[in-house]
Amino acid sequence: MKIRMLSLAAALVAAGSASASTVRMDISGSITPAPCTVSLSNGGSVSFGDLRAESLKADAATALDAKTVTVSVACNAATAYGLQISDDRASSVATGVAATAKAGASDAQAFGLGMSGAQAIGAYVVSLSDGVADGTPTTFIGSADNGATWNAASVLAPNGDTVAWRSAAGATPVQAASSSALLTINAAVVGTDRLDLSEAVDLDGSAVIELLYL
Amino acid sequence: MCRRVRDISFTCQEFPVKKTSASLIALAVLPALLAMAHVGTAQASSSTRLAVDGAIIPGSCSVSLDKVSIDFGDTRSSDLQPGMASSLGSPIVRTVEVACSRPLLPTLTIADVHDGVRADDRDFVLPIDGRPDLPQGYYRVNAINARVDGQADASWFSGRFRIGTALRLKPGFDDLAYPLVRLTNWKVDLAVQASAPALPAGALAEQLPFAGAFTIELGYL
Repeated sequence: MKIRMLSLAAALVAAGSASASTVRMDISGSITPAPCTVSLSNGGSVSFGDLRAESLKADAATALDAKTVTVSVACNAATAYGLQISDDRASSVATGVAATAKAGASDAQAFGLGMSGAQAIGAYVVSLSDGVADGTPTTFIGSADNGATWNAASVLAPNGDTVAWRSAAGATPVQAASSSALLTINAAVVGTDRLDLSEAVDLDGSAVIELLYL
Repeated sequence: MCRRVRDISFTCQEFPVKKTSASLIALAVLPALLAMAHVGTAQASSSTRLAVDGAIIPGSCSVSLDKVSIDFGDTRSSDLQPGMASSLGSPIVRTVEVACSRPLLPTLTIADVHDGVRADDRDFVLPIDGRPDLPQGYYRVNAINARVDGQADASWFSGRFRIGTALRLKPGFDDLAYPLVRLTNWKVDLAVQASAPALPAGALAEQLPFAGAFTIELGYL
């Protein structure tokens, strides 16, 4: 029989108060991390503008000019935190396009750019650079096991990994009141032969960056 | 591994323990569990959205000029003041036209073919042939009378050069303060006003041919 532990704890206290001369009151609580907020420059908007179809390859993916946006974290006090990112357009990652967007990138690191009919339009990769934590330049570390182990990181991928600013002590997250990083958006679109260009094709990527306390 | 406080509680309530012992265990481990909730785990706190947009636009534009040369003719030296720059008559107007196969955002960038354009203004140079020792004349290109898809609209003008879809004159002019409108046809009159350099009196005794040129490059925003 499965028992709800928290309910049982409360029940025991109640029973003790009725039948014993000594009662015990357990006091619990938690220390919450200092409130932090995460934000993106330019309201998180990254635009590749109008791309003339004739300037794109017809039979192969075309890399677009990179765009950048700055992610910032601000806290009331020095705090250890990391970032995770999820892709609202995950189902529209065009297969094999990530490596064109950014050399060496894999589809698992890519985000979708929306669909044109049944065709995925392209993909983009988010790279990390220019890390600063409390005014000190730093690099990035990533963890695939929820913070148990950390390794060097250079991309923010929608794979559940947590990325943090590296502390000076080594491969551990820094505790900082403020930090920032430059996110470079490298995108590529599929060959235009695969797109219906009877009308303009809109790129529509959307991702959510979440701040996590560590 | 428990990820958040709530996850820990959900996981731990699955233990199939007896009721009596479970009560004791619960009292003993509850504070520890609560304390553990903030060790080695991550809590979501704040989030922000990254939006990526753009558009793949089919179609293209072409650019043309009604006439590809301007001749200011002969100016008598007696009409010039020694040591002073002098206007070479009225502006001469040429019309540049951009035609697009579908609504697009074309731009025109006008650039002097000569080096040494002064970056602090919009004067293009008009050197005197074979006389690098003499000061150069100059000319300015003013964009006037823009027509976008057959419609003239004064709001498309800003100063001398700015037109709704960015007539960019180099160097140093790139005013993007006005909203951009996709168009299929764009005509602009270019009024070219030239000035002779401030020449010494002795130089005015000989014929001094001058020549300049600029290019108009079609681009897209």
